[in-house]
Amino acid sequence: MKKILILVVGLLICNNIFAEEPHGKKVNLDFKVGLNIGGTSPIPLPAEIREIKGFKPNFNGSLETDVNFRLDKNGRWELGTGLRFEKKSMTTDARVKDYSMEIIGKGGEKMAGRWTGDVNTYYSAYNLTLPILGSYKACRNFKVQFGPYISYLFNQEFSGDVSNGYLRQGNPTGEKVVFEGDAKGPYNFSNNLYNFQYGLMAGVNWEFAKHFIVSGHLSWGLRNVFQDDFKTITFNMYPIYFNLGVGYRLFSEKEKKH
Amino acid sequence: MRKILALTILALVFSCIQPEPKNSEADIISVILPEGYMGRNPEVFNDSIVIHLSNEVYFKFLAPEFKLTDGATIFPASGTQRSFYEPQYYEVTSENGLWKKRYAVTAVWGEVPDEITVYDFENVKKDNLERYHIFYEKDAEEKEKFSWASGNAGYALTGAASTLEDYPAFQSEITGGGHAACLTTCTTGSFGPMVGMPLAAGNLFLGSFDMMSAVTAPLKATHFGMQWNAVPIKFTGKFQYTPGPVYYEKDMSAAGGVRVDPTKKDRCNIYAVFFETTETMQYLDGENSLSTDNENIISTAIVPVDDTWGNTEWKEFNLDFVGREGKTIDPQKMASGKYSIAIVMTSSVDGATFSGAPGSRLIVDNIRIFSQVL
Repeated sequence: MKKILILVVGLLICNNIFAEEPHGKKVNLDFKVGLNIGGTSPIPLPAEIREIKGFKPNFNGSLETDVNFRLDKNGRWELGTGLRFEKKSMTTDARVKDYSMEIIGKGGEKMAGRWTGDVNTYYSAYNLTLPILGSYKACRNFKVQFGPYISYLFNQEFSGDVSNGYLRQGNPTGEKVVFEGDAKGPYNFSNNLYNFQYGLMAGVNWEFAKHFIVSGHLSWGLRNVFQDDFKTITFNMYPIYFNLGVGYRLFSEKEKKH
Repeated sequence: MRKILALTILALVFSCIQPEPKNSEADIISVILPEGYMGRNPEVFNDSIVIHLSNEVYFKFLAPEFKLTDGATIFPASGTQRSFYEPQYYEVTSENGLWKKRYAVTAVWGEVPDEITVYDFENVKKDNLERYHIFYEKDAEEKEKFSWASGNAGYALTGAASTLEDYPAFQSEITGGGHAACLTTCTTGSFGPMVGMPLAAGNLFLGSFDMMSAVTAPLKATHFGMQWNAVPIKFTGKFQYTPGPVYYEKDMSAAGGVRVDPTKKDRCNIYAVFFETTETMQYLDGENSLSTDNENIISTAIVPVDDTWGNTEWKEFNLDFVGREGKTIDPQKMASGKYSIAIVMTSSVDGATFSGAPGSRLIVDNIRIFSQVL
């Protein structure tokens, strides 16, 4: 709805005649700051997850430089790339049933089995993202973008604790160990995450005032965040985050007012 | 804007919650027999059940009914009559059909003990994952009669042990032949402190260890007591004790959950308690086993604390059960199996509150209970 609204507004201020770019340059540069809001989630939610009791998107900043090359004479099509330094994180609180879990002590001791109860999860990763985006300009100062991206991830964390429930040691027929009240079992799977991620990105970019832009991009990770040999979490999880950015465009593409 | 997006994501996620999967657990939750068949509550463990028959029941042809995990099924069916003169096996299948668990169900009468009952700790078996020793006793026909309980199953949770001898309770050989029970106070690695249990004292007792309470209410996890249809008079045995070098007091605000107390030396604890079981107190636990205000306790035999420090040679004890004031034995209750005995041995006297010296080692052997049959 919001996007459509933006699009409508964009079209309203559009110049129908698509002549040469006002700045006349073949290359343009955007500088942006932004926020990521989203989650790292299994798609679809597995049946083990019975209820999402809480979700915090956290504060995730991003810094980005994009470069776009004009592809055709009119400048309707562009191909761009860039570099985005960004954080993706979230905190969730879920109620699960029969959920594969391994509580790990600092000394490497393990207590693995099936957990039924509350699971608190914190995911966080710094990303250095390189998108390759094709742009179609609906008008000079408004473009729809789509393309793949790759990310290098570092300082990653996937941790949390389990509480208010019970663990069946090993498998569902194992000894039942109850965690109640203040008893929490911490877990940490930070060392089981991949450092590379790839996916698809789609979004819009609007130069709403001369040189000033806003943008919204959804990036959908297509690779399981966990390494293949990590079996404790039995389902794949993908980072899906929406980036909202504001920025400065080096060469304004907004129609000069006559 | 951020809030709206967060809410939108939340709404999307909510709409994706799938139908609840069928249960994968295959538990017998409880056993039902006609009124008056059982002298005391049955003991339901993860894969075995002990039914305590009332002495007024003269046969072991029983048709127990079982309450199971929702949706689970049992074979033979609940209510099937079977002969419990031998242990009977049941297979429970989970609701989703993927998991099966086999239960051994035994039915026992409270026997009248011999005039002298001997526990020499010569028999051990391993748990089903072969991680630790379980001491057991045999009957006259050399068949397994009952197992001693220990906190080993709880210690196994911490993952701190890798060999049988790393566990707080194991069987050791003794010079001159034979075996003894070796109980050691152990640290619980880094996992134990996280759940408020920085130490595990070696313990061995008559009764059962309740894994379900092991993390949340460890003092309640030790269920002390075994039916005893006679009056105990004397408690004897021998032990060696070496206290660990550094005494730790549980202190969850400190790193690792403990702080050093240089003024204290560890001591062991060996005692026997004779008590009446009532509807509300089927067994004693780590909180009330010696409490002076525990109305159920009839008599106790406690190795004096002064004697329990630093005996590197065998030290023998020979104690009379000391009756508590105003307590008498009711022959009628005795006949219906309402009395129990608890024998408790631990390498750290305050182990129940997770204080003690890691490395404290208690070796016990030749336990005898002298009883008088009513």
